[in-house]
Amino acid sequence: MQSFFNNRKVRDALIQLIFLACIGYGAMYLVLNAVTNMSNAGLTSGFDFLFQRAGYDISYSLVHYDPKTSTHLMAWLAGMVNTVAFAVIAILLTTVLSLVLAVMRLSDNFLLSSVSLCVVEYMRNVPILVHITVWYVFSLTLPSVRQAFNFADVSFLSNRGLSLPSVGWNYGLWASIVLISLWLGLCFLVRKKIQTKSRRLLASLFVTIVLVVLAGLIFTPVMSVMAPQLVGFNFKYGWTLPPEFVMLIIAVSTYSASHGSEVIRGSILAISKGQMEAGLALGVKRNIVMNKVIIPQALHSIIPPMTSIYINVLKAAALGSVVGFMDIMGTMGGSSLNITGQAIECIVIVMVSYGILNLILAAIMGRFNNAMQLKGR
Amino acid sequence: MNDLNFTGKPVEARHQDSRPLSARRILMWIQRNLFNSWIDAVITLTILLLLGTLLPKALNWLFFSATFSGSGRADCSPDAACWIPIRQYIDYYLYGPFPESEQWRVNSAFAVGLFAFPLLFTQRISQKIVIGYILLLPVILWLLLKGGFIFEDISTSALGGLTLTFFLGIIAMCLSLPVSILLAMGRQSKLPILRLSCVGYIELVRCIPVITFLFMASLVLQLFLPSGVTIDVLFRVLFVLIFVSAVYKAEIIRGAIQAVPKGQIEASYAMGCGYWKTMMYVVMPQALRNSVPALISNFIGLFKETTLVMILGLLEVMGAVKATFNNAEWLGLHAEGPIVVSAFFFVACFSIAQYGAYLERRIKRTKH
Repeated sequence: MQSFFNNRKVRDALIQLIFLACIGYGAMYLVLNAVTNMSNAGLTSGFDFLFQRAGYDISYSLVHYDPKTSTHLMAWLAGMVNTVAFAVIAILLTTVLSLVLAVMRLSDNFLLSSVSLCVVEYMRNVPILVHITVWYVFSLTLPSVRQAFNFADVSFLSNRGLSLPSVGWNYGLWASIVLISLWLGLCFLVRKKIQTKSRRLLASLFVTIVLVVLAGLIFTPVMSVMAPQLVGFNFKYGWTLPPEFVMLIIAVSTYSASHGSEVIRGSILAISKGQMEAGLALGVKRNIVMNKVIIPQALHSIIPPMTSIYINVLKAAALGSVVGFMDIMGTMGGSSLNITGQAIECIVIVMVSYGILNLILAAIMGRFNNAMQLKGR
Repeated sequence: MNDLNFTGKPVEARHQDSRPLSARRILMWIQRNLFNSWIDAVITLTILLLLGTLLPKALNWLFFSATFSGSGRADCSPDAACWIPIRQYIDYYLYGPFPESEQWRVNSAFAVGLFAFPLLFTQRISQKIVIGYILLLPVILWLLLKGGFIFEDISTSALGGLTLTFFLGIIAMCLSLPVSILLAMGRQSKLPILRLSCVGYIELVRCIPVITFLFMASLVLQLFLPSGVTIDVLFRVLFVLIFVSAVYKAEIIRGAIQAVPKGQIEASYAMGCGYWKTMMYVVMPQALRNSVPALISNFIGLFKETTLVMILGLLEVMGAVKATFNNAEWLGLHAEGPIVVSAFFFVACFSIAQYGAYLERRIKRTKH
């Protein structure tokens, strides 16, 4: 008997069995409790509620959402689109800002690097919720529509939000499909035929311009750009982003950019000084050494930590509920849950949605990482 | 001078200039660091211009024209900061609604908690005492702030302000450490079921915002408990903070475990030590020591994350500040509250971060 329990395989199997039994018992206990509680409250589990009328308003939604007729499924979609829109804009802004802050910090100019140091240290040491509050307070001080900040008559910043010119897409469905598939096909061809990176970029740019011009000649009306105009008490035309959305994006992207700039700076500093010196000794200019030697090497160590920063940005969309911007957490995990009482289903949907978004983001960054790794080893 | 070149010191260490400061050297420094090229000059002048115009205005608003003392809203000037409510409520921000006669307990809790930082990395005191202190810390804090045993029990609704932030931060930090060590070990275990469940748990928690779990704890958890059983919202929040931050710590500790040379583990096995002995006496002492800087930055993140409990209606420091500015008398003062909160968090987190950076430098020095 003694030797039976001392057998490694038997012991391992036993430990795992006990572990599984504990987890299974815990899960069973919770599920049974939930079943009795739900039957006491008169709730039936299931996802039927998704097709019922939602009946609550979503302050800002990119897809068409009408509180009177739309279902919970539409509310989920609106939240999902809001999250994605937020994440895409905030991630782009984070990347740009962290690059700018890192370059400022690495500059030889003492004042510039100390300004960057102060900004970064302030941003990373203050909680994101405080940042959101600060920017929200700032949005309260914005002028009314009539005294809006005017950026060259094409975009305006007021207490109604940021008004941007909109780009109309007036080709109709079939023409759009033909154009987009033509464009994708040509880009694919360019990718196959042309080897050098810079020429490939030039060629695809050329293809795009030619296609746009041709489309403008063949199909009328052409793509139209509409600047926002002040009509009465509000802006007409254009594309107006609500203040809470703008402020959330600014708060989240500045906060993450402070972390991102430290990542970028650390990676660039980690490349040995000798590389720059060797490049300079060969008579190559400083910026060329930076672009061809230092940055490609730094990128390898930048991308993995940047991925986790991007995932944090995506997750920060849930904080929008503090200022009234609704993402999946606000629609499905907040209002829908409160109205229908289908807590488990709603939370599962929220978790699965975030999981899918994160997986997609991680997959994109993974591909990017693979493309950037050193080849030929 | 020349013999210095043979000592093998790093290049930076050789050029310790000991000449006295002279006007020429200052000028050279300015020329090199501020006006190196014409672009540099333009940037420098722009920044100086911006600072010159904005800084006096900001300082004026914050301090020189601001009202510091007075009795009510009427004493405030309309176009400068008004610090009267902050001064009025400062006790509330620190102690929350904690009973006034028991406030010495909060003070001693702060002292006990802050003492952990210098203790964490002293080499004079043996590691056993330090670990013992870390393990005892949540118990002591619990006794002091929550009561029970010898002290008078205090209801959870009396915890608020900085006291609550501190309570949540330190207790979640200390209690999540053992969980994270187990998770990190489970993730590297050779037993497939154990490993897979640890990996699944870690990856699941990492891709979902903390605020989702907090909402779950406040709205959904009730559904999974037998009817009649209720858990106080503070404990639910604490539970969430522990089990979420453990995941991030587990990844830090996993990295540190992987950094321990494999030969040491094999040597330990060869000496006849089992898994637990190897982990306890060979791997963990090195891994934990090397992960201290990363754990400190994780603690900063956790400390900042405690502000999220405000969303559930718990008045930690930010919620307390916000609540006082909802008071009818101070309604409309928007900027003062966030300024005070961000100043507090900046000072606290920045000093902890500096301490972490110092430890990191020290670890690097002792390694080579």
